[in-house]
Amino acid sequence: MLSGTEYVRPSTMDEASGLLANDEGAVVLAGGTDVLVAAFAGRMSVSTLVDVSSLPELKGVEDWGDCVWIGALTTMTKLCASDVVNRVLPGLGSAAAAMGCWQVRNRATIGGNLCNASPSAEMGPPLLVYEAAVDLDGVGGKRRLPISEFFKGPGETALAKGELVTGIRIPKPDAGLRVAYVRRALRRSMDIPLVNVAVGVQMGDGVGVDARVALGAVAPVPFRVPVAEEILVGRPLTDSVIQEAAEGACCPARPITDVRATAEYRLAMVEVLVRRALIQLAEESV
Amino acid sequence: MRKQLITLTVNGDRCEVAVTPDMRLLDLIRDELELKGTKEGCGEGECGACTVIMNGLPVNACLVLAPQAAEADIVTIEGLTTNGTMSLLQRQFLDNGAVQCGFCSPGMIMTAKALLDDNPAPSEDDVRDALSGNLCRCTGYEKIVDAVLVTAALVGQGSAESVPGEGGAA
Ligand SMILES: Cc1cc2nc3c(=O)[nH]c(=O)nc-3n(C[C@H](O)[C@H](O)[C@H](O)COP(=O)(O)OP(=O)(O)OC[C@H]3O[C@@H](n4cnc5c(N)ncnc54)[C@H](O)[C@@H]3O)c2cc1C
Ligand code: FES
Ligand code: FES
Repeated sequence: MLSGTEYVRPSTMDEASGLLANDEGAVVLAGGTDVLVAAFAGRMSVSTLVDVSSLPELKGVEDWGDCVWIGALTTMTKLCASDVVNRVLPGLGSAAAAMGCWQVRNRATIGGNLCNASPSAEMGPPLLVYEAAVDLDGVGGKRRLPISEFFKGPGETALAKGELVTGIRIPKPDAGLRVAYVRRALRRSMDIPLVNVAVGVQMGDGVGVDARVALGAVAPVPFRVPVAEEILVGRPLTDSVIQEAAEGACCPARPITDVRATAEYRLAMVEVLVRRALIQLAEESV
Repeated sequence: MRKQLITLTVNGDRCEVAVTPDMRLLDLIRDELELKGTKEGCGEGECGACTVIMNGLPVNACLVLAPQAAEADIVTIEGLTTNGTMSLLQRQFLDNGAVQCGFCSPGMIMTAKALLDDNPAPSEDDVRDALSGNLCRCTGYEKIVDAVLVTAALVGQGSAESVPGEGGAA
């Protein structure tokens, strides 16, 4: 519940990180689509909500030449509408468009999606495939982490006390890298994914020269699958190679059974979705 | 718990409201401003009954904290009528049988308004996508989608100028 909770909207990074560092129960508030649901349902106790929406360091989507920088406060709606995202990082745009519904996408931020650290976070697999890095700032100063080191477990991240995610930095991929994002949910909209998959493949002389496969919702954190990637490199994207990679992708998956689906179903879906993503890429490349 | 004064615009009127950190935009609208058109269904972002337009975009008022709405421009269902006359969109909801119990209608209409403001000639798919966060347990959605498409067609034919309330705030 929020009775007894204070609300502050700091206007500088120092003020924000100071508040977060000195108050055990202080929680960052961005779009609020995770925090407010949890707080009002009594699943989270909060002494102070630190609304970060006035911090300029967390805003904007910028083309920095060799990389794209996405401020932590960027909403899904802004990601979908961004030229540079659609041009250079279409797999991220598709994932943003698939999240929740319009009302939620208008509030939900990319920083909030990462920091909430749900195993099924929409942004997890595409950011792993694009090899993004997370910019952090706080009482201990600035640092940068590869996205693969940011997620620590369900609801757990590498964020230190008093630290904020300021933005996501994504190296511009080679123009030949094509990325597909696919997800399976119980309903077309308004439901978190049972399994989500991002796959990136770059072909050269008819064979894969770069392959990246990332899975979400089938382990405590989203992760890359080198076993499946190795199957794709140096070989053409034929039906049999696709099938081999799709089956390979299941080996490291450790899904759970919950109210939405059984572990067996999720595992079967990994194969289906990886196959679907690869078929999509194979069709695009002819 | 600290009370704080915030200023915001609701349906074109500037207002100053004392808010607390546990107050949602939904509570501000319904209880402080006594605009009861906006409904609460689930209270957790799932049903869209509480949809209002905030700075031009539809949001769930149950997932916005009142203090977060400081300086915001809000339009609620009450903002669509002019001197008691319904907007074309509201009229089409009635005329096309898109309202049964009516509980989802304010939220549904606000999302549809935001869509039409952004895209005056949506396809059926655009309408279904835009409205996918608004649940209706009565109508089966067909007539709601019809109402939005008919409104778009009428506006396209230029009959909107004579209808008060359309193209207003937001
Ligand atoms: C109806 C509904 C449907 C949804 N559907 C989906 C879905 O399909 N897929 C999906 O992935 N998610 C879904 N979500 C979950 C949620 O919308 C997303 O995770 C969203 O991206 C969270 O962003 P936010 O800005 O609202 O985060 P908030 O709720 O503001 O914050 C989330 C967490 O991150 C922390 N935080 C936020 N920003 C920062 C920062 N810059 N630095 C440090 N910590 C920070 C907060 O303290 C909190 O712990 C849904 C939610 C609802 C209500
Ligand atoms: S009451 Fe807000 S979405 Fe259901
Ligand atoms: S008309 Fe009853 S819920 Fe939609």
